Amino acid sequence: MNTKNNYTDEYLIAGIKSDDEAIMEYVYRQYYPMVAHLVKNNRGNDTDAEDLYQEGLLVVFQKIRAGEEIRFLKAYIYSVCRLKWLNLLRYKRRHAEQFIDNYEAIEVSFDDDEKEAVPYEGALQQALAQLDETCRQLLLAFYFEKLSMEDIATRFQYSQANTAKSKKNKCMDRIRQKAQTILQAL
Amino acid sequence: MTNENNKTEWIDQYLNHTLAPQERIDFERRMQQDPAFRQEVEAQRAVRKSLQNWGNAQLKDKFKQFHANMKQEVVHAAPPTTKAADQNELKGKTRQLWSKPGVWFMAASISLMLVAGIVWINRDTFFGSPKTEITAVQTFQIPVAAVGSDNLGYAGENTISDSVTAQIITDTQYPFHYRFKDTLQIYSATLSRADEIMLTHQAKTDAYTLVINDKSYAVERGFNRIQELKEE
Repeated sequence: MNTKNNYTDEYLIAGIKSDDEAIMEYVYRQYYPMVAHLVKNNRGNDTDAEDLYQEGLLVVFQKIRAGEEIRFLKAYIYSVCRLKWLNLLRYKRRHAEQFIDNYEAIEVSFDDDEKEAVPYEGALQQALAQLDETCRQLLLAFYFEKLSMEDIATRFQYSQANTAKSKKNKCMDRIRQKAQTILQAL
Repeated sequence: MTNENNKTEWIDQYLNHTLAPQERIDFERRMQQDPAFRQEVEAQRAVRKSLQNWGNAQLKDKFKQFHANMKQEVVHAAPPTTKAADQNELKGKTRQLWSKPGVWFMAASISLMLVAGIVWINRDTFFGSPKTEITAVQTFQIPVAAVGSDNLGYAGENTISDSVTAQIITDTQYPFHYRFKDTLQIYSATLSRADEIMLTHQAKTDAYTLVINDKSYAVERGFNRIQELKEE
């Protein structure tokens, strides 16, 4: 894989949107050293760096898929990871005021709360696991990747977006009914 | 309610805050009057959250894999103090390599990250050149046909039970290979999604066969390593 950046941000962002694994891996490698440097300069070790980078990239990929306009991918990744690390340092009451930057940060905002523990999450994940693969992939493509119905129709080889939509709705109907049973049992 | 046929979409619009003000008022009134409807909304909200968690967990697995791949190349790029002349011998006698303490250290950090130590077994992946150049990737779904135990045939006679996300990757290092975990990655410079590609799955033996334009290739699922596609 190339270590030199030959790709434009538009190209990389489009690749992330379309779940292109090769592009995602490229992005991962491209910016890891920057974030690892930041973490290790500021009281973290390699494991902290890896954890933080992966959590940060999840946020960035989510923003991209939700359609947020990102002009400088590198600065965006840096700034999200930086803010996450700062929050963690503050949480641990470490000396965040002596923070050393190795790149210029831009303003970013995202929800950095600890994931709320939902009591029925385990049962829901199980219900999702039991759903047939096509249904699950359809729902993930729509609700997680936030693909358009046209893109979903292309990926799943449906002749029209409407076919994809009605299949997606049927899958949601099915899993919602299961989820309702789970919620009723609480 | 006018939206009974599109209940899923109606609830989505409410949860996405895209209902018009009057529609929102109607929606909330319905929730107050109809506890069962309210529960459906809650259920859909919970499913949406669960899908996020599911997707994030999958993505994180991918990141871990990327990280392991990256580390693997670091080991390759910075071998222990072995002379260049030993390189060939090294491939044959891995034991010699293992006697270096530095290698143990790096190996320990890698094996922590790899789900299984499987990559070790594959010398080509481990010692192979890291200079791969990926030029194109196509992602799409391919059907999976369930093959019965008394049935030797392919697609036509079998029921399509499932689908798998497939990618065709053009990579100079891998002329005709595959890697099959959640996603089936087919490495080829000539294939495209216009070709007839499908999988058959024998439930009894859990064996997968990849069928490309009527030619069959046995594929193993669940391994990280990239393997050659060999016609059956």
